[in-house]
Amino acid sequence: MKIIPFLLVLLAAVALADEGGFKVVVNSRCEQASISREDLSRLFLKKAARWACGDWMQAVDQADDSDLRIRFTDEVHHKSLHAVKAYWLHQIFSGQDVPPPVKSTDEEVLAFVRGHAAGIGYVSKGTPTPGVRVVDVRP
Amino acid sequence: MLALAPAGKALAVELADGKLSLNGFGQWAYGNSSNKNVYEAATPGGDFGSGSFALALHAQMLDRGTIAAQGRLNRDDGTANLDWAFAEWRFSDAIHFRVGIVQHPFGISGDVRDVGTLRPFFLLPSGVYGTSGITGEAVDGGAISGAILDEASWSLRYDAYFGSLHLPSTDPYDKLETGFRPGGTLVPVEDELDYVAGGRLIAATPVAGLSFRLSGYATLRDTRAAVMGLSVQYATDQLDLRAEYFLKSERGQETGALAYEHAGYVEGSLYLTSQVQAGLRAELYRAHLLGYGGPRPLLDHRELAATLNYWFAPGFVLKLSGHLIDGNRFAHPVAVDDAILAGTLERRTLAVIFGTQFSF
Repeated sequence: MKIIPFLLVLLAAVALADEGGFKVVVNSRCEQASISREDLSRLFLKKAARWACGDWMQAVDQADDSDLRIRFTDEVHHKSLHAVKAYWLHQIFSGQDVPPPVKSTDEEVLAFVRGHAAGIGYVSKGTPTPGVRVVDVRP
Repeated sequence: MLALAPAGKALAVELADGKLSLNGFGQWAYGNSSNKNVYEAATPGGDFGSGSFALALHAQMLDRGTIAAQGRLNRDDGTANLDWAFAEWRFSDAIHFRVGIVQHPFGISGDVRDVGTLRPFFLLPSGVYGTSGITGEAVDGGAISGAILDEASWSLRYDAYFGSLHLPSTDPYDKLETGFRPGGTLVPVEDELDYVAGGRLIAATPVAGLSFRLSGYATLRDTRAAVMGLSVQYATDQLDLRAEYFLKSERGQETGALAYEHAGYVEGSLYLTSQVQAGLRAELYRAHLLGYGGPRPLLDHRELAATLNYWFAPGFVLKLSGHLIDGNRFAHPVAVDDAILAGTLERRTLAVIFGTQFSF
């Protein structure tokens, strides 16, 4: 019987941990159910543009100072935000590329993804996502 | 439509969902040097007047097509430069084609040589990136770049270019061959090498942060100049280790004399706290002019340097560096011929540079 309170505490802890998580969203025309972490990182760092849902994927990022951006950067790029900013400064001034556009709210990210057939973004786990497809991130 | 990010928050000015973006960088420094030798921003008696500011514009016209340009204002000499301006078409992830004035993809810092927030020291190593004429400012012509291999463990990217290469340089060889004259100087000029072909390979290894670069170029129509070298970098959030070595062979424009130059350095920097960074660098540059047996001060540069930086943000830093220099290839009096003729040229220079570098 003692195991039930323990499981409840564990479930609550998992739920709390997920609260700060993110989910990856793509345009509803995209039929992919999942994306690998590496492919996701490449698309957001613009090291690759091609993926299953388009030759020229268009990533959209969250605001620099958001917890969501920090978590995404850590879990997907396996880098600090500082390192990713340095990467983009190098890309910009070497003329290679510019970072994905930044949106300051989940709603703006969703609007971008709905409006771009090859759009891909991420929003808070608890945000409703009508009109877009949520894809799982494979480790 | 228009989003101008508040300071310290985000990068740049974005228009139309990132299709048009404006970025910039700049720097200012105070520098002081000893023994009447001028070294970069450091002058005898001190100089507050060194500074520059640049703006870069990227316009994504189509999914595959981009136009980009960067202009720079230099307070030192009052000049305005067009650093690069090109159009790019992306055939695939493996082939990006550029035409126009493109950056010189060379070594670790060749294509970002003026952006101070991308390196620990205020100054890049003089032998590789200074007025030695090894790294170019820009290539007038065409370039292709892309990813050859992009796996989770290894990645291999390439750059290849062809055209006219602009090299900032001071050339002591003709002076050594023809003799010193009263009032003679070593003024940096932009040397232009035509019909140059070159490239760079960048290999990122399974060890996170460890990468190797192989860079080189040569003139195709004659044997005037050829450069080849290797770069190694290990960069983490706290630590940045860099080492580069280049060999250049060059034939003097006026005398036709053959010269070889060796340029290399080892550099390490470490974040002591999240904002305080310290770094050390040892640099060696040595030129050999075949058939020349005279004094060598204008052919040598050995340097030990240390820096202490305070980063307010990734795009805003204060840097204080000290440079102990032996040799006069890059540190010498303005009237260098007079000093040599009078026997007053001092090989040793101590330079201190304090400045800020920023980018957005």
